[in-house]
Amino acid sequence: MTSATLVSDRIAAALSDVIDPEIGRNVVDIGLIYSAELIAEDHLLIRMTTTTRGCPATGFLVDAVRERAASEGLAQTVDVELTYDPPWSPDMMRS
Amino acid sequence: MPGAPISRWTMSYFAVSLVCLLSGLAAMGSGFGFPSGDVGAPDTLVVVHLLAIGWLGLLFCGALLQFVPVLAAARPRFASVAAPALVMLVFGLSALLAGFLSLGGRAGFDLAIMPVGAALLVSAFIALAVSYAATILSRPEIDLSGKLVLVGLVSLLVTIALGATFTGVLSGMLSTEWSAELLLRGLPVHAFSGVAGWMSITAVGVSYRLFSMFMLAPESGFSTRRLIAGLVAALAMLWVSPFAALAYPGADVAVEWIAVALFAGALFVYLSDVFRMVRSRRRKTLELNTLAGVGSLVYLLAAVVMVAMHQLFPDTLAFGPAAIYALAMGWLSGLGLAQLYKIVPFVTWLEAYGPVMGRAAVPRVQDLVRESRGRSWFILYHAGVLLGVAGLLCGAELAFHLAAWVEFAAVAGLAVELFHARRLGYAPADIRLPKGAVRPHLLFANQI
Repeated sequence: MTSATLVSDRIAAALSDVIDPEIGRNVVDIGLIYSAELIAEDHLLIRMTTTTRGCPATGFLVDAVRERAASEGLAQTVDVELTYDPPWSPDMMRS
Repeated sequence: MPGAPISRWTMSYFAVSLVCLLSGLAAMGSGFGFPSGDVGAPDTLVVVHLLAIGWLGLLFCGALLQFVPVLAAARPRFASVAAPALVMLVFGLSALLAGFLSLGGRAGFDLAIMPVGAALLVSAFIALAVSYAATILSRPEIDLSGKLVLVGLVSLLVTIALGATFTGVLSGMLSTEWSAELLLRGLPVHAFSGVAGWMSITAVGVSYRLFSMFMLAPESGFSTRRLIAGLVAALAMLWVSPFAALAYPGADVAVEWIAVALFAGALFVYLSDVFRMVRSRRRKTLELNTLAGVGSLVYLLAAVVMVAMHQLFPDTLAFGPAAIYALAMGWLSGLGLAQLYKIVPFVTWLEAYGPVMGRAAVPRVQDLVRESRGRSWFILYHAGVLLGVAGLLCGAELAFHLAAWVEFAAVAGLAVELFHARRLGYAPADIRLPKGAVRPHLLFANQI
C-alpha cells in the first residue's frame, strides 16, 4: 500500500461523519473530496468542493473537514482548498 | 467565510407572510370579497392584496434574500435594506388595506392613505429589487435562474408602477379624462404582470436551481434561450396590449392571444426541463418538499388551459377567476409552502449545527421535520385548493368558503410544523443541542 492510498483511506474514515446537511450523506460518499495529499512532511492539503457554488453550508463544511482531519492526527497542519474546477455533478456520487 | 451568508431577516419575512396568508384565508372563508362581492369591489381588493403582497410578496422577497446570493455565488449587495424594507412593506400594506376598507365604507380613513401606502410599498420593493439585481449582476456570468429572476424583477417594477398609479386614481388624487380607461385597460395588465410575470417567472427561475439541488439532477441541458425569449416576448405582448387597443380597437384581443400562446410555449419548455430533471435525478426517493413542489406545477398547466378557455368562452363558467385562483393558491402558494417546508429547517440547521459540524454528532436536516405530519397537511391543503377551483367554476360559494377554511387548517398545521423545526423540537434529544450549538431565534437568524 502506498502512502498516498494510506492517507486516502484514513481521510475517508476521518471524514465519514462530516455530513452534507442537504443530502444527508458524508462528504466522501458524495464525491466532495477531490484529493488529499501530503505536500510536505506533516502538511496535508485537501481539495474539496460543494454540491452548489455559493451554498451557505460551504464555510461550515470546509471547517468541519479541516477539524476532523486535524483531530484524527493525519498531519501536523491541515489546509483545505475549495475548488469548483471541475464543478461537482451528481455523477461523482458513490452509488 | 466562503458561501452565501445566512440571511438575518428571511425568517421575519416568512413569519409575517404566514400571518397574512392565514388572515387572507380566514377572510375568504368568512365570505369577505369575491365571489360574494364583485371582483373589483374594495373587499376583494383587501383579500387580493393581503395575499398578493402580504403572503406571496413577502414570501418571495424573504426567500430571495437568502437565495439570490446562493444563485449568484456572490456576497449580497445592499443587504442592509432587508429590515427597513420589511417595516415599510408592513406599514405600506396596512395603509393600502386601510384605504381599500375606507373606499368600501368599512373604515373612515382619508383615501389619501392609499397612495401613501403605495409609496411605502414601491420604495421597499425597489430597494429590494436593486439589492437582488446588484447581487446577480455582480457576477460576469449569469445562469438561467439568475436571468429569470431579473425578468421577474422587471415585471415587479411594472406591477408596482401600475398599482401605485391606480391608488392615485381610486383616491381621487389623480383625476384625468383617461382615469377610467386606465383602470379598465391597466387592471388585467397589473394582475397578470404580478402573478404571471413577477411571481411565476421568479418562481420558475428559483425552481430550476432548487429542483436540481433537491433531486440531485444535472444543472445542464436546459432550454435557456428559448425559455427566456418566450417569456420576454409574452410579457412584451401583455404590456403593449392596452396600447394596441388604443391604436386599433379590438387589436388587444389578438395581442392577448399571442401573449397566452407565448406563455403556454414557455410553460411547455419549462415543464420539459423539469421532466428531464425528474428522469435524470440521482435521488430516487424524493422528499416531501420536492414532491409537493413538482405537484404544484399541475396548477400552472391547468391555469393556462383555463385562461385559454376564458379567452374562447368568456361567458361560460368562471374560467378567469378560477385560473387566477389556481395560479395564486395552487401553483405559487403550493410551491411556496413546499419550499418553506425545506428552507426553514435547512436554515435552522445551518444556524444551530453548522458551527459544530465535525466537532460533535449532529442531527440531519431531515431530522428537524416529521414528514408524515407534513404530508397530511399538504394533502389537506391541495384538497382545499381543488375544492376552491371547483367552487369557483361551478359558482358554488359555500364550497369556495369551505375550501378557504380547509386551506386555513392545513396552513396552520404546517406553520406549527415549521415552529417545531425552528425550535429543534423533532431533533433527537441526545444530540439536540451538542456543546457549542446555539438554539436559533424563532423570528430571525443568529449572526454567525
